[in-house]
Amino acid sequence: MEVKTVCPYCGVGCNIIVVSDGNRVLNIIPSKYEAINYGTLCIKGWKGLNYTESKKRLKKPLLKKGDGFIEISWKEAIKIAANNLKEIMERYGPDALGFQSSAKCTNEDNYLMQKLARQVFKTNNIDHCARSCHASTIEGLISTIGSGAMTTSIRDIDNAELYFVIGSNTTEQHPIIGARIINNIISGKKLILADPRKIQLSNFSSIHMRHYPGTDLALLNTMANIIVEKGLYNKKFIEERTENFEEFLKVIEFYDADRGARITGVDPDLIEKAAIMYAKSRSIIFYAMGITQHTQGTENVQAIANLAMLTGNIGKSGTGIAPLRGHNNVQGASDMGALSDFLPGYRRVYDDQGRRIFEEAWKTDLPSKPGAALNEMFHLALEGKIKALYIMGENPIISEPENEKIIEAFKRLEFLIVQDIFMSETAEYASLVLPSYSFAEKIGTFTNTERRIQMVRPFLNPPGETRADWEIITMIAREMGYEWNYNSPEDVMIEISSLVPQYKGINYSCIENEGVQWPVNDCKGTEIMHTERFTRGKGRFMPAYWKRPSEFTTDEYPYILTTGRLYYQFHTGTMTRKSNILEREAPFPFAEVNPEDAKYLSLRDDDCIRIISKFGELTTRVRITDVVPKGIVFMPFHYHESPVNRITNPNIDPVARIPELKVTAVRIERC
Amino acid sequence: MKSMVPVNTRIIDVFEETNDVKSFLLENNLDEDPLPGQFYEIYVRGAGEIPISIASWRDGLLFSVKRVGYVTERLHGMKKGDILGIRGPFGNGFPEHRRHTVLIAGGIGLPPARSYIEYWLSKGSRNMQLLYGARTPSDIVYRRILQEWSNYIDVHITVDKGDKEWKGNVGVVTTIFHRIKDRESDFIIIGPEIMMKFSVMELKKLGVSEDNIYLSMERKMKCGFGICGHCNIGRYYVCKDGPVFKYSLIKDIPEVFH
Amino acid sequence: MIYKIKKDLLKKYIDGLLEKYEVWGPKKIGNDTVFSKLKSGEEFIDARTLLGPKESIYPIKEKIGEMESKEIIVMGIKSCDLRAYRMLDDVLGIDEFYSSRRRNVHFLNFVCTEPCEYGFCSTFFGPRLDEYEMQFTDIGEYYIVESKNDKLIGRDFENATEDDLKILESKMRDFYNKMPPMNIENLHKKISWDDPRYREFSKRCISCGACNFACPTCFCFDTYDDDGLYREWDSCILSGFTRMAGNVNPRNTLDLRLRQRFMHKLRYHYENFSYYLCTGCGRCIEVCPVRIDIRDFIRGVGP
Repeated sequence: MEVKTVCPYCGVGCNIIVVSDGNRVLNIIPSKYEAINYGTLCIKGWKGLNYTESKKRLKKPLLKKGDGFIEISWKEAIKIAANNLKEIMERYGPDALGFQSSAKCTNEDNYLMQKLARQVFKTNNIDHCARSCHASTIEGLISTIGSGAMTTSIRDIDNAELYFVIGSNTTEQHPIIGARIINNIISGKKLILADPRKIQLSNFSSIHMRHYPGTDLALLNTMANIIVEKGLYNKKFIEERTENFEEFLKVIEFYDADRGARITGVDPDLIEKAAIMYAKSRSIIFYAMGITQHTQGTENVQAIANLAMLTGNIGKSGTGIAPLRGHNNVQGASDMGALSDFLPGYRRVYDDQGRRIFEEAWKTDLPSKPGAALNEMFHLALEGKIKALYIMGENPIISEPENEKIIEAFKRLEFLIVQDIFMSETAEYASLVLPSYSFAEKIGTFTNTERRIQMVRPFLNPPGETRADWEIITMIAREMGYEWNYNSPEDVMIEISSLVPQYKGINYSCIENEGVQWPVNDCKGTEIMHTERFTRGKGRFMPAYWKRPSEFTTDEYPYILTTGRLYYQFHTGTMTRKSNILEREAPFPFAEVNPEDAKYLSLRDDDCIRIISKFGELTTRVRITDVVPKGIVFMPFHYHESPVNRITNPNIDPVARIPELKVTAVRIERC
Repeated sequence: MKSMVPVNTRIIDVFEETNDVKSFLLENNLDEDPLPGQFYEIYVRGAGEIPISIASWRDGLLFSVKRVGYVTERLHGMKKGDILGIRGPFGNGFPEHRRHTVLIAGGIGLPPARSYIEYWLSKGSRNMQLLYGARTPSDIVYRRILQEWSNYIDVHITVDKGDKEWKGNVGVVTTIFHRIKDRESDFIIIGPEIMMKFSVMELKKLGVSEDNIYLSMERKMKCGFGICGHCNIGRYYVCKDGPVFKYSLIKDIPEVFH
Repeated sequence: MIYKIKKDLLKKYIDGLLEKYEVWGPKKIGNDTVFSKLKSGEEFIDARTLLGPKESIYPIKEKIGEMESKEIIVMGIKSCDLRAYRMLDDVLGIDEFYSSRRRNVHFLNFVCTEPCEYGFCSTFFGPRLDEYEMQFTDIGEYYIVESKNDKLIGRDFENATEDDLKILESKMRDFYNKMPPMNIENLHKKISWDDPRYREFSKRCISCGACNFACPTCFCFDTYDDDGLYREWDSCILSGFTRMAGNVNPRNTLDLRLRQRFMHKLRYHYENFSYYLCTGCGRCIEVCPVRIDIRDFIRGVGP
């Protein structure tokens, strides 16, 4: 059979046609869909689907018995799950429960997961990995422009004159968007890059600012200041469409080019050139974790919005702000309210009016206090305040900071449910393991980085006794006595489309052939947002002073460790590491060290080193390269062999509660 | 017919040669006997296949394997009586022994050289010289056999780094090239590419003709008979047109001595 | 023999074939056209697909030793793809799995009468082949069917007339006028190891491997153990393609790997077989995210 569906890796959401015999993937064909992947795929699309047919897939519910697991029936499993959650809720209160949803799962799965937490268990302790990637985007963009998503479309990249890419290794993390940018540059467009590392896009940049990690805000403020000084700002746009400009001016005037240069380590002329080029062109800003994973992540994002509003580079074709979402459905999971402070459609849990809509729809009172964020749940578990966690499709032991504490937290829990497709590092600690469908067996929708809601269709028979995530959650809700009458994901989408304004009126038939971009009305999408007015009405300048990152070099920890992903691997590797070709390409962890630093430390390529931070230590191999500047060490986070999140910085942005994974002070020793 | 399907074979014996080299004697239940310089694909179940040169085939097929990666590491964990898969022999092997031949072997290049020496000794020729370079004295493989060979042929050993007991030459293999008896010999070089590169350079300085130099090339080889495409060097496939190449044939291909 | 069949009878013909055989052909899935197994003649469309049907007899991934082979019909294959199999035969012909499937396949190729956007087949042999089993050419109301094996000729086939053949000839003349062949004389001698464009390409190549996967003539595969030995299509653009244990890699930079791809197609293979390992299908251009264009490359090869 041939099935059109969406690639399960990054947020680009490439359309693919999968040919299968029901048990094996026989062929993967890129769709010629011009809006996204125009007949192309990255290597993960071509070679990354093997995991779905892996023999290691979980096939039956498993219950922890002693040190091992025993197989149990679904009936027992659901009973055990519901009873334990209920008991803990009754004994310790609803906030003794925590729910972690998944950006790998569909909108329908995520919607039900947060509904389970809120309606059935009366807690806002529901979150997912957007917390660790784009929580600051949501806060930063909502506070400035009113909507926490890419303002334009992938297709619209072709209409810009200039791309400003900051904190995104686009060709590795969002390869098909990266390729589109490259194609445009080859045909004459310009690129400004801000990244401490040399990346593939460096080959194409007119200006590459290699700023110190954690100085993005200073860099952006300096650019803004230069634009104002040179009179290159868009007065008409600012007057008609924005507010708080005066306050903004007061803050950024502090950042003259020299000060900006001192803080960021970038040549002041370079910053000036970049600012002028950006202001004078029809420009799109692309950013990713390099901006968001900081204690000033929210302010970084606001600074990006400030820059766009300052120059009027938003709300029209070829302009805008493009936060690149890491997971296939991290946009959708956020839209669905799988966040501790947002109900579906980004209504604050403490916004009485918004909450009432759901209270009426779900016929119950809902908690109004924001719940615990992803990482806070582990801390609360350590403190004994959270007693049970229900984790769907996540592997926090590898993906979140301070993983030893997470393991400790798991041990303290009275009950841990892990719902996954594999026995992940996290699942090993579960009291109950629920085997679920992978995207290969699912019907539902993913929402990509440009807000496009797309159909996901099954092409494999579910292995063993696995069940769909939405179905498992529904069974638990029913066991708890709630009348959840969904018979299919489409039923769930009907409810979503009636409660989530961005998804208004969506049904599967309107996205049958082609997805649509939210906000949707009558099946019609929106390619470019904020064209007439901003979602929040007036765009609001949100200035902030740069602060030193929570971690900085000292004599004891003289290097800055920054982390990221590799092209061939994805997240914690549970999917990519089961593809023989992908695993062959990037089989082991390493740390990139600048040649000068390597010389100083007398290191040779492939030597074993120990990297030590305040938070922990690990060993890995050295890769000596000028990809990283002097003083900076880079490590990918995919590998359990050298789990870099054992040593990363857990300090959080106070608004978005995202950890500052991009800046950790470390020292390096030989093994 | 060359096939991708391995045949099961039993490990008759395992010998520890050095810290990281072990020899495996396998039952020979394949139809074809090898020639010196040919190789086999050895399949370690659960790990994968690797190409290994034949070292000897007197009482079974003998392979000496250095532990360098995942498959070799798994192979090193196997014991007498265990089952392996095997396919082969593949490749062209060394040239006919026509006249005085100097074998220059570096590191784990000695086992293939052994196949040549043993084969032609058994045919009654003693018209050979062996120059062997190892990293350290403890990395020298086949010590007893080297001793035995020295009764028949000229054997010189050098190490990159000596130790207290080492009384022989210290230096890379080219530092014993003054021992070469006859510049009009055939020269067969087996070892890491960097070692082959410098050996060729030195031989050319000595006035050796490029037509008389043979290299045993190493590449990733998955099929063994020229269909999987991994071992290209220019127009040649190392697995089927090699692994042994006349230097003059491949010297202009930039991927040689990468 | 030369036959013809009315276009609207093609569905019926395919339905007839489906009673006895597994039949592959181009069909629509959503807005895309893909080559896959047909369920009915109704599904069949005469169209060029983004990817050819290479996997019909050379599966992308297969367990070594678990070979199955049955008689299949690949209907609607374009001449560029069919020509490619004749090239694959020269390399993979000694492989027992490939050759057993190859013996059991009937390729019914459909001639393009209009050039496609990326193709340049006229440079090599054009949209019609001399070697085929049954070759279909659209001449309007009918397909002309040139047949070298009448085993699959159906009831609805008629004999073609002189006039039909004239239409065919004029269609082919038109085709060549629209797609003039490029000059490839002595290309294999002119193409250079030191061409600076390999490095240029390497700056933008994102190592997706699509040029290999989409190429009807690429034959490389990797083998690995995954609870049994498997083989899977591989790509010479990937660094693991040549990397050996101990991190030794004779092609450790992307420019060297891109060089390998161009040199293998346009020189090494020519040196071994006296033809270029390219059929001008243009698929590598179309699937390349950064549009590396082998036509431009060939045009730019020095004197």
